[in-house]
Amino acid sequence: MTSTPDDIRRIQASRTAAWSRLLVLGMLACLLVVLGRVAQLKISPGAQLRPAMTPRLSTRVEPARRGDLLDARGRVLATSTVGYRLFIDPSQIKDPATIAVDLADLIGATPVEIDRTILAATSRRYVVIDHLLEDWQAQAVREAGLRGVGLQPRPVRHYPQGPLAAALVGMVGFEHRGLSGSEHVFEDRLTPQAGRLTYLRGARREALWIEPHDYRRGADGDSVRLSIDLVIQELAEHRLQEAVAKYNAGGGRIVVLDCRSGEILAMCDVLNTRPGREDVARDPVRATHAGLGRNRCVTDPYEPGSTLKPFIWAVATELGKATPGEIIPTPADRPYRTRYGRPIRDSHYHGSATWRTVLVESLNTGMAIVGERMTHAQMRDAVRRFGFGRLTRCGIPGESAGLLTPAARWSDYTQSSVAMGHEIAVTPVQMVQAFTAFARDGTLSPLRIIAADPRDTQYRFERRVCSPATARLVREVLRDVMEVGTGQRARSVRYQLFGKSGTAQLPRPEGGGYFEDRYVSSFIAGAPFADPRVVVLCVIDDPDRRLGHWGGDVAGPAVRDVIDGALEYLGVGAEEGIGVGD
Amino acid sequence: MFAKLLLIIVVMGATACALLVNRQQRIETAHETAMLHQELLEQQKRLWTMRTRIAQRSRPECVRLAVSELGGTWSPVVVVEPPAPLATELAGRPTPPGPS
Repeated sequence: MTSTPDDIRRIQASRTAAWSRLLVLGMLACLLVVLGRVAQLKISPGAQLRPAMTPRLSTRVEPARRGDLLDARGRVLATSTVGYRLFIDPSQIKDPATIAVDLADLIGATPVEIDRTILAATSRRYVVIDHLLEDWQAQAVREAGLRGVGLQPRPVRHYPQGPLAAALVGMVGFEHRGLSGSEHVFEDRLTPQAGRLTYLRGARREALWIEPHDYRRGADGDSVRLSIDLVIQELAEHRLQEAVAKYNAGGGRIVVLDCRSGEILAMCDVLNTRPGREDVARDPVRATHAGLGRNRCVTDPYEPGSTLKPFIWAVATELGKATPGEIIPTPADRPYRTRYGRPIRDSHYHGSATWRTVLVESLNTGMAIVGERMTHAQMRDAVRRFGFGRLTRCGIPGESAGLLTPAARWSDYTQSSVAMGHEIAVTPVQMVQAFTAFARDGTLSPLRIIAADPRDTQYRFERRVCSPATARLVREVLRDVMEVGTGQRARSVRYQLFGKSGTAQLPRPEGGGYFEDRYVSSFIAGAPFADPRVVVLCVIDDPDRRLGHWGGDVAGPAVRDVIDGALEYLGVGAEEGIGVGD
Repeated sequence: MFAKLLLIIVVMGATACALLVNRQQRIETAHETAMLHQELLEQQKRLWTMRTRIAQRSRPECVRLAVSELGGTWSPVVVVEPPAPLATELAGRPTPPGPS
């Protein structure tokens, strides 16, 4: 029997259908097997697979950096880097007996110490071995890859300038938060916002990728540019230390101010411990770290002595209580007796002198005589007007407003004392701010510790305290102080200075008067005379009287040197026809 | 029919392979990104450290030392700048025209 073509087609079709069914069934069977295996692995994985099936997400903090502190020209005063803390998880360590030796080899420490640390905290899963590793130590630990040993990044604050301007810069604590100085003042601006990211890790704990929905970028803290200039700061610190050492003084302070903008260019405070002599100020934390000590330029008032006279002189002149050419009957050979019988002494008796000479020669008697012509309210207003007795709000923490007798207790005695710069205490920053009035034709500018932006006109707000004519007159008289008065030893060969010395007796800390032979010597000056740029105040606390104690001799040369150096550095050319200094 | 089924299987297989390759590439790219991110952070840390070292080595005393080693005569540069106007001068200036 032969097959017809129809039969052949039917047979082929049935074969194809059979193969197709077989193939589909085979594929279904394979799929079922695969699905079954997947279900089995999901429901009951083997012991080897089980640890790898848990989600391996690891969240870590992305470090953000605390802002830098910079000087006026962008030099770094304080900056942050990332360091590493070494820790172990004892539960993850395979061989606790040898881990101490392994770690000691890596970081160059003593195994016994490490072992003791581990044994003291075996129940914990986080035991810190070293709070801050050096770079090479961290690298060695990283390369060793020991199980149960970890490196935790932590911020580290650096002060590249060392002790220079340490009191102004301040320091941060263990938690990287500002404890003192500018670090504390600008805490909000400097503080960074740390980021956060979540890694998916592989079975060998290697980072596979970052989960995109779990990533928050960190934001670095803002940098703050201070007004101080490191070069001027270094010059001032160096010169102050020299002066303190030369006169075996208990301490010293210098403030350098840009009188145009009110920016503090330098601020130094030195304390000197002398065997057998009482300290002028106690600041025990300063020994711990220079950045922790208080900044006496703003915190500790001192009695200004004759450096206060120009302010009283200006107001008395402006009120018409005396004219520059008026002859004041100052005594020639004995103390002047006030209306209430108090004897007022001069360091040298001059005889009758013009009102101008009273300031040039710094005659206490002349100041007391004219002081008696003023009312109590006028005298008190004179010192208040220049900012004494109130905060400068320069932005440095712990500022003192100084000491000023309240109006209710202001007596005739106070009147005479204040006219000579006694019975009043001012801070160095108050004094330099007040003195800028003579450099700025009678206006005061707010003090700044943050560098001024030249485009910003805000910093030019100012307060008028005396007329431009009075300010220029005082400046001229103070120039004479440098030429023929008490400031001769502070004359500069480069610039025409205008300044005033002050020598006040040191008050007894327990109260009850003054030391007979201990002084606060100070000198304040501005320059150049024609277009003043800087004002510098130097206060030397308790110089050794045998070596010198007059403000013009002890503090004056330091002021001159700082002014010379600062103006030269600021690009101010030397003036023509200046007399030779010593 | 057989040919059609075979074609479907081949196409599905190829599509699956392509998807797998694509997925693997995506994973590798994400991994590479994570590695680059870590590298970026490391570089940033290194940059901070270098910045600190530069600051330490450019202190005024170090600059002065370097200048003295260079020798020669150095003279200060005189800066001629106009004085900044005082507030009283600013107040005296005519107000710029603007909407009233």
